[in-house]
Amino acid sequence: MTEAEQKYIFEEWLNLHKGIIFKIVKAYSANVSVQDDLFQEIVIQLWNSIPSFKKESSASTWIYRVSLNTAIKWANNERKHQQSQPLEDMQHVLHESDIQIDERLTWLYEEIYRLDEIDRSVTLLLLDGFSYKEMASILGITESNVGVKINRIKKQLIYKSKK
Amino acid sequence: MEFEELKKIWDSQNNRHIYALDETVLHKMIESKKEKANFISNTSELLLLLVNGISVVIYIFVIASSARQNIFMYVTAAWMFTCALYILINRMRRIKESKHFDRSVSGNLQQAILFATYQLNLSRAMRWNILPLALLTLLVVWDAGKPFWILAVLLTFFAFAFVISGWEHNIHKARKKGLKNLQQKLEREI
Repeated sequence: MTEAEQKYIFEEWLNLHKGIIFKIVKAYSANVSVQDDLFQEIVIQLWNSIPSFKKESSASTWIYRVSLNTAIKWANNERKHQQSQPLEDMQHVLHESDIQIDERLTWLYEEIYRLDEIDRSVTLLLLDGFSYKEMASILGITESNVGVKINRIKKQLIYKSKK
Repeated sequence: MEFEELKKIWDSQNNRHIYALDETVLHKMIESKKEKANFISNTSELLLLLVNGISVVIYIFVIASSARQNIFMYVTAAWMFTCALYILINRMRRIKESKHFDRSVSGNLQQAILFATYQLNLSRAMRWNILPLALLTLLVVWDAGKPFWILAVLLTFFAFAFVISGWEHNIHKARKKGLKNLQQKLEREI
């Protein structure tokens, strides 16, 4: 694959599926500077993954897979990513959008962030409508384990929303 | 709220993104990060390879140019060559493995644990390797009849390297522990 082809695919992915990366970034990192850092890490991994993409799954599933793998490992080392550089000195890739965000959505993100790294990934896949089978394949666990986790997470989120 | 309602709230962001991208900064960042990522992941291995490789060359040069042959020098050179070979083989294996992106989260964590184990073993081996290396070097210097203060300086240097490599080893240990915890969380059926 030439660099130009790789660039074309990358730009297409970013154009069509950047929403997936935004959701994962927001769910896995608490403040703007770390969100930027995680976003950069994910796009680099996506760029590197392009030659391995054999179209056996959809691009969105592939992007989810690569992004979640990156975010989970990144979150595991999150203390390492504490920013030492002053925020105003940095060039940011991500900027908060001007749109008015529903405060219930903000609440939902906060609740997802409170979950552990694994449950966050299950919740994101669940909310984005992946089937148990797809989730089991992305996570590498059995469908019954996916079911157990989903059941627990759903109960937890519904309970907290009623508080 | 019922789950369907939560899902509707979640879906409300699908047509309007929560972030805006600065594409110019993004492209600049990709270029610099591509280079930086390679540099960081390679640095410790390359440094070890370089140190061992250069040491072997120096030892061979000293052995070849010295009138007085010293058995400890041969042993040290052979030892360092073996270390360099060990690092090189493991590095090639690691690079080959890092090109897989089609893994599940579980498979990816297993791979990360394998890599963390490799780094842990490497840092442990390199740490304990300081002891025979220090001993052999001190024997070479002692056999060459060098003054005592040189022995003392060398001893201090090796002791310092031993302590520093212990810190590095603990970082790898903590990283592996974190990854194993993640895998347990993923596989736990609760």
